[in-house]
Amino acid sequence: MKSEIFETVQKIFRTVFEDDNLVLQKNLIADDVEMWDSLTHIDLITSIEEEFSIQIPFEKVILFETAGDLIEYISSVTK
Amino acid sequence: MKLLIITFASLIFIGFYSWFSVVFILISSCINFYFGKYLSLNKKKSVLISTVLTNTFFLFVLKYFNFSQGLNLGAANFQISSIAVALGISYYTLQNIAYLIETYNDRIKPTDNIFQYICFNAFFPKVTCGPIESPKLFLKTLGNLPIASKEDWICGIQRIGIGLFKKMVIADRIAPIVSRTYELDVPSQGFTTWIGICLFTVQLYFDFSGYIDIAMGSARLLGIRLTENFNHPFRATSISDFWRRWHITLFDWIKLYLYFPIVYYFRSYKKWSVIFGLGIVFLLSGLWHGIGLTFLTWACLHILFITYEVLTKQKRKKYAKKISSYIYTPISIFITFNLVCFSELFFRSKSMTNAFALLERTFTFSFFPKNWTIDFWAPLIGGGSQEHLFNIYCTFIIFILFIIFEKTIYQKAISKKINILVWLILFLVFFVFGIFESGEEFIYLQF
Repeated sequence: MKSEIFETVQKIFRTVFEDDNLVLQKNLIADDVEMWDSLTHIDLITSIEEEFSIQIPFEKVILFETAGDLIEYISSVTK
Repeated sequence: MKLLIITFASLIFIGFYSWFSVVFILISSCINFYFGKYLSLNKKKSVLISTVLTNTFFLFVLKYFNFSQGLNLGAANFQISSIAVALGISYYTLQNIAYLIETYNDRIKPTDNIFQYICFNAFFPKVTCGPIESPKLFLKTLGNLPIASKEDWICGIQRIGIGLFKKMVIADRIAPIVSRTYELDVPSQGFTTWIGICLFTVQLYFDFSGYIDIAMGSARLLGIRLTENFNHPFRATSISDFWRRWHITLFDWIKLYLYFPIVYYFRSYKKWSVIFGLGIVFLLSGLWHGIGLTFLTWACLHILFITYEVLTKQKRKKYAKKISSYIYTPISIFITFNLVCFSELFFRSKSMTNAFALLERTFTFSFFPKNWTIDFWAPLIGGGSQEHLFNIYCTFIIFILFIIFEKTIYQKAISKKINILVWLILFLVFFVFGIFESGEEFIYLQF
């Protein structure tokens, strides 16, 4: 289940950041991705919400420091 | 014990300005201290909103309403000057609001020590002009006060020295030139007027960052590290980059408590949520500085600049890759600096009429001076004598060299191993060129 989520999130990352070669890692942060700014961040979150049919509260989003935190959260709410 | 001493010393410091400022900061701190504890136990959004609005209300009233006319309350007559009443309120109000939000969201535990909280607001090095400290980090520091080391003492004194240098040698030397420009004393000539306009941004930087250096140095003498508020803003390659380098703690506060929540709430509108968020942020930032069309214009200009940058970021990045950074970076810095100066023109002007008069003088057909001494140097300094010219040449040389070598100066001058040569030069320049008698008040004290 978690690997499916990982694959789906990686696909979203590649689409949002327009990089087919992007390799998603758990410790990935905004500084690691050239196109990651406030605009693409919003795109990323809304795309994930649409894909997994979830709503991520603001109080949770601001606690995410890495891509791994995001994936953990998605896993916890989509069980 | 150390905390108590620092807290009382801070209140005495504030008391030198006005007794009312002391009373108000104590009342504000006690009320926010209590509500921090309440909100950590009772998650009532209505209480959070009410307390935040109450803090904002008092900030608005005490900052923007002039009580210098006096209040007649029967037998008692109060005469309170607006500046004395507002001392520090712009800064500690934001800290209070941050504290309430953080405790409500369980991101920090409320403090049990009322003196710790009072000191969080009143800490004398930062109460007048910031930096705005994060409740999580600063309360933790106050809860476990470090012991100042020999290195803290040396670096603290050095940092204060740099701050005084920036204020008294650079900012105060530039101030009369800026005043002359904005009071339209400089004869109508494009380039000269534009340089006078730009010098306000330079003056503002050295004045404000000089104050921050003194604040940081003073705190360092107590072993306390405050948050850096500037990061060489004149090296910014875009307006967005500029705001990551200028008044950093204010904009970090705005980003965390205003921008991100707004953008996130409206995220379904994608890029428009970002633009809307930026609009709100800069309008409120303009309002924080003052009420008036000039501040509104300043805010609108930055909204325009940053919106353009947000919408064209990826295209500009691709374009930048095609050009050598040795060309692209200086051009970006030059454009950014001029855009900032253009917006600061409105920030500094007394009125829109004043601002437009300056713009009219700037954008004339004869933009460049025909005779540099008569049309440029002499008008800026207000005289053409040898002494005047020597004065202005030195002023320009000092601040240009300081800007270019600022990083190096900080690295060499602020170090546990005292760099004798650097400090000899700084002392010499300080005592020869420093303004000791007719100095200006710190600009950001008014905010």
